[in-house]
Amino acid sequence: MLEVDQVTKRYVGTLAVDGASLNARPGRVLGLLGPNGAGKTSILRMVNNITKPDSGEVRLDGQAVGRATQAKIGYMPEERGLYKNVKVLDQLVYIARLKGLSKGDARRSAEAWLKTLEAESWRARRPRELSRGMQQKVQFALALVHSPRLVILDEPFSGLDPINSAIMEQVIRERRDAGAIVIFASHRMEQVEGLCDEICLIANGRIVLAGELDEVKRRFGRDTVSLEFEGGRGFLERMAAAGRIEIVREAEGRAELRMCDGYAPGALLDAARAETDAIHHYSATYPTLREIFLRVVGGTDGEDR
Amino acid sequence: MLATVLAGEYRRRVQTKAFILTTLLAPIGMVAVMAAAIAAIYFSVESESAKERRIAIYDEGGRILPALERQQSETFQLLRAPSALDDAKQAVRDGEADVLLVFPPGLADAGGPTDVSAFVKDKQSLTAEEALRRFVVDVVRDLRLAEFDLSTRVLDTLNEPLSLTTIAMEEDGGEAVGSTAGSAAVGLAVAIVLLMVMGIYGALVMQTTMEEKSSRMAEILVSSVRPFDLMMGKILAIGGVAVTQIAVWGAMMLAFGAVATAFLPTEELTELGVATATEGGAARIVMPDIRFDVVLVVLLMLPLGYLINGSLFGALGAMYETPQEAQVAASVAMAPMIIAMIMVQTVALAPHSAFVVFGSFFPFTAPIMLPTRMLVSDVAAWQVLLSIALCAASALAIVWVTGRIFRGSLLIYGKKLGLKDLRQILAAD
Repeated sequence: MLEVDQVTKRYVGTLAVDGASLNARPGRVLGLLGPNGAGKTSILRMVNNITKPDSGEVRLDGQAVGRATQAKIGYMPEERGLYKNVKVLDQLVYIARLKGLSKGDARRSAEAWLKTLEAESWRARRPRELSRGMQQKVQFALALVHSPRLVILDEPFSGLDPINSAIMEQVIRERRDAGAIVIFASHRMEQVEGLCDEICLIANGRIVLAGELDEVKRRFGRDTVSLEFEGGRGFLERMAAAGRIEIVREAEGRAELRMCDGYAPGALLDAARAETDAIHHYSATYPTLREIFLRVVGGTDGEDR
Repeated sequence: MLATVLAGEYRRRVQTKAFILTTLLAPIGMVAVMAAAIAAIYFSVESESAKERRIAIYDEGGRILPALERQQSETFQLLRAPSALDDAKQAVRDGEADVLLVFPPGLADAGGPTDVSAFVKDKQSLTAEEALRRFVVDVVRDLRLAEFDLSTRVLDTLNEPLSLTTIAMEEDGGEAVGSTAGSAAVGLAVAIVLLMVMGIYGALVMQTTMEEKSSRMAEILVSSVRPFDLMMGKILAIGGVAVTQIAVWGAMMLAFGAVATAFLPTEELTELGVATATEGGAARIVMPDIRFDVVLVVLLMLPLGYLINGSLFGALGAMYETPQEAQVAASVAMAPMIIAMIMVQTVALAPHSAFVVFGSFFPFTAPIMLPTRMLVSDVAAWQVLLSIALCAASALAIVWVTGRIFRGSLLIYGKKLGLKDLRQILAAD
C-alpha cells in the first residue's frame, strides 16, 4: 500500500502541497484528480523520491520512500521524455536496467511489452521518427517495463486516439488485477471515470474529497437529470428562474440539469412532456466527477485552464 | 547503477552518426590543414629564395665596394649604384634594381654612424627584410674586423654558436638537465590538452544535460537513479568517448605521419626548419628528463581536472535554458584553467611564491600548476598527495552538487535558477 501521510511541500514562494494524505491500495486504481497546478505532480514527485516533503512522510508497503522504493515504481511523467535518437528497444532496456533488472531480463521484458502494446515493429525505430501517439505508447512501456509494484501515470491519455487509449486502459486493468497499485493523475475528469476504483480530488494543494468512486457519487445523490428532447425549451428557463433546477450544461436539445433541494425529478419530466415535441432520453443519475468537483471546490476553479 | 549509466551513456554517444563522422573526418581535416600550411611555407620560402634580388650599393665611404668584390653573395646580385644619390634612387624606381643600400662613410670607425639605409620600391616581406639586415650586418662586421687584421681562425672562433644548459642541483647530490622554459613547456602542454579536452568534451557534457532536461528524459532518470550516479556516469562515459576518440585520432595521425615521411621532401623541410632555428639565434629549449613521479601526477591530474571541469559544465547545462547562455557561462568557467596556463611561466620562474603554492593546491588550477611546480622545484611528497586528494575530493563534491542541480532544475522548468532555488536544491534530500 502507498501511504501519503500529512505531506507538505513548499517551493520558493509557493505552497504546492498542503498537508495532503491519501492511500492507494494494491489491486485498485486510484484517480488523482484536479486542475492543472493543484499539486498532483508535486505529490507524485515526492512518491518517486525526486523531491522530499518538507513535512510528513510517504511510505510504500510500510517503507519510507527512497532509493530502495524507486526500483518498485514505474513512472510516466506528464512531461514526456524519451531519448530522441535512441532505438525504442534500447531505451526500454536501459531504463529496465536502471530499475535493477539484469541484462537478459531487461531485454526479455522490453520485448514482451512492445508486443503487448502492439508496437513490436518499432523496436529499432527512434522516437523522432514516431508519431506523438506512438511515442506515448513507448513512454507507457517505459513505466511498466520492470513490472513495478506501483504504477504512476500522469495524464496518460492526453493526445491519444481511442484505439490506443483502449489498449492502454486494458493494460492498466491487467496490472491492477495482477495486484499492482495504480495511481493515475488527470485533470480530465470525465476521461477517468470508467477506470478508477477510487478517487482523490485535489485543489490548491489540499485533498478536498476522497473515497470509492461509487460511494463518493452516492454521497452526492441521484440529483442529476440528463435529458434529450425536441421542441421548445421554455420550461427549462422557467424552472431555472424559479430556482427549482440548475442548468449544468445545455446544447441543441440536450441538457444536464441539477435538481435543487427536494425538487423531484418526476416533476421535471412532467413539464418536459407538456412542452416539448418529443423526449428521446431521460435519466436521473449521479453527478459526473466534473460536476462533483465543481460543487466541492466551488466556482470555476475546476475548469480546464 | 553507476556502471549501467556509464555503459548506457557511452553506447549512446558512440553510436551516433556525429561521433563516427567527427572521429573519422577530424584527422583528415587536420592533416589537410597541416599539409596546406607546410606546402604554403615550403613554396613561399622556395619562391623567395629562388628569386635573386638585385641590390644596388651606394658606398659613400668607398670602403664597402672593394670588400664586397672579394666576397660574392649567394642570395643577392650586387650592383654598383650610379654615383649620384638621386640617380641611384631613380634606378630603383625604374626597376633596374630591387633595393638601394646606402652605406654612410666611417662605418668601420669607432664612434662612427651605425645606420645603413635601404630604399625599396615595394614593401618587402619579413624574411626578405631579415635577409637584407643580416647581409648588411655581416658586411659591416667583416669590414670592422678587417680593421684589426685578425686571422680567420679568430673569426671562426668568434662565429662559433653558443647555447646555455641549465643544470639543477638536487638535494641528494644528483643533477638534472632542464631549463625553465622546458618545465614551463610541460605545464603548457598539460594546460593545452586540458583546455582542448574541456573545449570539446566539456561542451558535450553540457549538451547532454541540457538535452535531457529539455527532452524531459531527466525526470524518468532521476526517479530511477541517484543523481550522483547519474552525473558521474555521464561524465565518465563522455571521458570514455574522449579517450576512444583521441586514441583513434592518434592512430590515424601516426598512420598519416608514416605516409607523409615516405612521400614528402622531408630533408628539405628540416633543412629549412634548422636554418631558421639556428640563424635566428632563438634560445635553446632543453626539455627536462622524463620524471616518473611527474608523469604519474599528470596522468592522475588530467582525469581529475576533467571531472572537476566536466561536472561544472554539466551544472551549467542544467542551470541554463539556452545553449547560448550556457556557452557564455562556460567561458567564464574556463577562466581558472586559462589563468593557470598563463601563469605557467611564473610557476617556472618563482615556484616558491605564495600565489604559485596556492595555485598548485587550488583544485581548478592544480592539474596544470602542480606538475609544473614539481619540475622546477622539489615539492614535498605530502604536498603532492594533499593536492591530489584535494582535487579528488572536490571532483566528488562538484559531481554531487551537479547531480543535485540537475535533479532540482527539473522543478524550475522554464526559468533560470536563482540563488534561492539553488539553496533549496542543495539542501533538499
